[in-house]
Amino acid sequence: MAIEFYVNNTLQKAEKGETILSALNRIGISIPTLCNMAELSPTGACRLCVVENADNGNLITSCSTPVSANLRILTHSPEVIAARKTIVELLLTNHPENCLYCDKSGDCELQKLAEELNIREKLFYGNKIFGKTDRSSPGIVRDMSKCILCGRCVRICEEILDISAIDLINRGKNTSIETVFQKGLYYSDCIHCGLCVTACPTGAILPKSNLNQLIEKLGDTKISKSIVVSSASIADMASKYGIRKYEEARNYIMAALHDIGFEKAYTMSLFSDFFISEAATAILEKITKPPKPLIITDCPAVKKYIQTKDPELSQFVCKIPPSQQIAAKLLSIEQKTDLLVSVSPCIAHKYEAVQTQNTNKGVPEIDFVLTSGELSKLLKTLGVSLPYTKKETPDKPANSDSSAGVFFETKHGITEGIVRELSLRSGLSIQLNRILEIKPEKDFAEYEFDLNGSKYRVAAVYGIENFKKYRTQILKDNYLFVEVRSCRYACLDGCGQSQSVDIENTKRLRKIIVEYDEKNSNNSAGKNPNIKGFYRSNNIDRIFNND
Amino acid sequence: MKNLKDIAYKTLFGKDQKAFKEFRYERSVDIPHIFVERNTGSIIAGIEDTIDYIKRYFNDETDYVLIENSSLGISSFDPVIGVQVPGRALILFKNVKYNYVSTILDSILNHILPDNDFIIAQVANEGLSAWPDITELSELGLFAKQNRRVLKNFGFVQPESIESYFNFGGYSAFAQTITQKTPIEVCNIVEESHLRGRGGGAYRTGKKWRDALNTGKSLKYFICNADESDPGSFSGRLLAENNPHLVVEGILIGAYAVGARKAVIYIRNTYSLAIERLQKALEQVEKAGLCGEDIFGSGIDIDIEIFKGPGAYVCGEETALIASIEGERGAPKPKPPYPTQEGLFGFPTVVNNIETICNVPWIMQNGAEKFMETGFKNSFGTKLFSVSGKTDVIGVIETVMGASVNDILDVCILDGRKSEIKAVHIGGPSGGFIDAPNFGLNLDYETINSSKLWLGSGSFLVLDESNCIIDISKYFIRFINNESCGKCIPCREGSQRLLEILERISEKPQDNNKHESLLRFKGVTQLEQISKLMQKTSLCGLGQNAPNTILSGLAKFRQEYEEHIYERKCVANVCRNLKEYFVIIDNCVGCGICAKKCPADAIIGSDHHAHFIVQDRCIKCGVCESVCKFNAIMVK
Repeated sequence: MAIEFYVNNTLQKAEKGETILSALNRIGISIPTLCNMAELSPTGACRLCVVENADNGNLITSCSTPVSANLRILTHSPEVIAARKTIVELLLTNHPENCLYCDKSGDCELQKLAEELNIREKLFYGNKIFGKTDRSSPGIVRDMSKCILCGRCVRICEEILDISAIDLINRGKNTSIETVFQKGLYYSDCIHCGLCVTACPTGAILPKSNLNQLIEKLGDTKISKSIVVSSASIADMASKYGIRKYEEARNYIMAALHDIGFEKAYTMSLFSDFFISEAATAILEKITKPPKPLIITDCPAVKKYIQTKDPELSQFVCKIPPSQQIAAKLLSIEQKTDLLVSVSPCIAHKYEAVQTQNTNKGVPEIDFVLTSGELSKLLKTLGVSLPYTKKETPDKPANSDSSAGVFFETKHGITEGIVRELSLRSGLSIQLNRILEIKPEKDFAEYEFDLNGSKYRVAAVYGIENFKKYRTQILKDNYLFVEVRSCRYACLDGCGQSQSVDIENTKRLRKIIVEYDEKNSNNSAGKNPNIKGFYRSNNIDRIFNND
Repeated sequence: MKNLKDIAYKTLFGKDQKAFKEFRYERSVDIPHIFVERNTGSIIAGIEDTIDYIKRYFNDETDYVLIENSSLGISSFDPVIGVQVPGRALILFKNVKYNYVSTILDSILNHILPDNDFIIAQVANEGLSAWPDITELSELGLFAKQNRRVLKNFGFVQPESIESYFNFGGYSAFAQTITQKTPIEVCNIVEESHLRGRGGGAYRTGKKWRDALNTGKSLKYFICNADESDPGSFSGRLLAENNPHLVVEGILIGAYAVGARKAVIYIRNTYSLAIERLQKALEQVEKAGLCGEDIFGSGIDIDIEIFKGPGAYVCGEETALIASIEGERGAPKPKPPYPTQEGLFGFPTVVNNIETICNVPWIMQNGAEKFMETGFKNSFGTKLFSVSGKTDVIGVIETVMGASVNDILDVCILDGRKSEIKAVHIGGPSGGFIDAPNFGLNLDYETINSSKLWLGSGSFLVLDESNCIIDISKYFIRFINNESCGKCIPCREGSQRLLEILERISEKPQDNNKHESLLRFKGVTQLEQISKLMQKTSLCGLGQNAPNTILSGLAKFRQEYEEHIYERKCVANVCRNLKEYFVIIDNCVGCGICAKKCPADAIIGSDHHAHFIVQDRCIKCGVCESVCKFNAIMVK
């Protein structure tokens, strides 16, 4: 708190090197901005954060200017308001203005800004430049006509992920954001992590939605329909509709899904149990072999990242498919179903579902992958509101799950689940529901645990940027296995969640799942009777070979 | 040539200042010497053919010397050749197309003067007999009224020869600087001289250098900005093409002063001749030991590299230029941090315009006080202006800093046509109009700034009654609209809307409904609103200065705007789309001459009957009106 400066004629303090914007936000004055994001470098593109320098009347951008001593600024002088207003008016002139048909409507920062600045009359008239729409990706739709070129997506892809799947091309009025050679996102290096979707202030980058086709199919009585819902999505719905308990929300959703036309409704936690069980088998096999890092991930984004950007690591990646694909493969054997729908908190699973290894003669094993947001919309469209009037448990075989399978989708969940399973198999009876002291605030955490008297170290890393940062450590430090996921809060802050992905909300979701986990005595994959039953009845000890 | 290093050392430090026995125009010659000014302007005018014909003329039978010379800077003289026959003074000829070569050479080699139309002037010298009745070059009004300091040796020094540059005292400033002065002394001298950035920013060069020097980091960069991309400005190209060694010397001094080991010349890729000559100059400089490692045993290393810019107007902005060299997209970044703190690849970087750099050797040689002898208020030295438009002379002229518009017009308009000049547009796309009553305005940085104009890199576009202010504004705004990097909203969207408003008022409304008319009227108020927003909030100089053209046009030629909007009339007859041509049926005798002459086949009708103009086809060229002998064509 070294520097003193004046905001609207009152004395305020700021730290040295702090930008005006962050100082103002700390003080509690909100300044509109469309391009600034806390973790990205300031770019000064939108010019909406201008404040007036009271000494000379100049307008300076608060996002990029550091506070200087005795600076006198006016944050909402008539001139500042007029400038901001004209900027938004100019943006709107080149905007499709079809908010009624836009998926982002209601959540759109541009829309909100126009409302805040009281723009209720169209001032400028002119030609609109209609950009192309990129629909190549199964998960993301980029509509360039709605793009305001704030560059958040470009910077997030470059600065945080260092992938640069998209970048600005051309100049002047023809500037647009494109993939390499304008071939489309699917053919680019995009890993479908969805960070750009969460960053976009307008409806220019949105998750792709197939909801209408699904609703059409739901009316078809000749086909059998099944749905698998992930626990992060259940937690998201619970928090959205004010349901405190996980199992309560799960049962409401299962009943609702049965009522809107799904014959079978499952939870993903069963298949997460399978994942844990398979991973544990693979690890136990590995313990006896010479040390070699084993990267365990359920995240399609991480797999794509390694495949395109770091192919050297491919050999270390555990080859067990994500639980969504395990579900597809097992359900196609066990329960014949014509239409299989999966609900997940992210769009990477939409991408994963159409990969060659997950298709059968070109037809994806999973017909529709919905995001949590889409599930919420689906229920709303079909007239179902939560909390529902009925409660039903998931269908067999998902009627029993272990809490590890539910905990799987929170931070460090895979690590914890596998360690529990390993301990269980080595003959320890797990009384406490926590073996590891989970540190949910850490993006890279190391854990140590005992197994048959010898100590093992494992690590969990969240976010592609952290994965890159700790890459050498992961390879060198002789961990038993390393859990990697692309989202900072595991699956809870996936870009497909129906609510905004801020930290507070993520903590709320985590609490719902953790409470369920703490109470459940069925705390490891191996304790799930259906898992045990499956392996015993098929007389196998593993489904997928890791070699 | 193998001892170039020794010769350079002797020339610069020894007593034998004339170590090179290369040709200089003051000396007598034994065989005819032909000088050709080869540069981009003259190549377009046809110097290559002229050179070809000169070679053919002599046909290996006569001994002669052909020398590539630098340009005088006046493009309207191109192609220029100079001839020096034994015993006589050098005489310069203009507009020597290939078909005049033999005529001119026939007469001049026989000591007879050719047609007066070709002669520019002679360069008389002691011991050489002068031509009768021919003006001395320095006494020619065009040159006498200039103050040629940077351009002093232009027209005499040979661009591709370091020896020629040595002969004109080249690199002695650098040699003195590096051996006798410390970097901080150099910065002080440049700061005392009040030299300011000639690219338009007008920042004190010495201050910039000292800021970079004081950062104390080991690696620094010095960048010469020769990315001249504005329409109407070509002084940078002239400097780089015709005296590349002057540029290199300036860079060497600058790099030494800021302690930069690496220097970069950022030049447009399209300036191919300039790049070629700079490359040659760098090779020669390296051979002469003036650049590279351990220059003159001083332990100073300076490497100069040429970076070919892709040719975007915005890359003239220093942060965009740096981004471009780094391989990033050429878009400006918010300042601070300034490049002197954190520039190319994160190291302190000084970016100077090529014209600024060319002033430095002169300052080091003649001292700061002498530099400040010319100038006005706080702007000292001289300034290059690229004069174009409705003038008699097109080219680069150099005047005292702070010369008035009138002074420059006096140089470039030879007869009394000055009264016909309606306005002058200075500063290129970022500049603005100066109308005739304000021609007394001094073009120094303070006056220019207080008049809300922009000197830019010194483009000087002269307009007369046949130029439409709206049309010129439209041209510059369209340029800005295309060249804006597209990063910040005010510049990208604002320029688009400005362009559309200008287009709307210079065209006849498509359908005459009330909404369209309202938009035309609203346009003018919106022009000011958007312009002010762009000035106040744009990220870089490009956007901030872009509306100058419109605001100065609105302030000084509001009447012309109003005529366009209310009367749909363009006095200059440029905005043709405002007009509509009709046949007055009563006057038309059906002669059919208009239908024959119409280039768009827009006039139909049979003989001896009244004709008719199809409006959809009409291109508003006005040919029908001019050919009709019966006043039967009406313009609305």
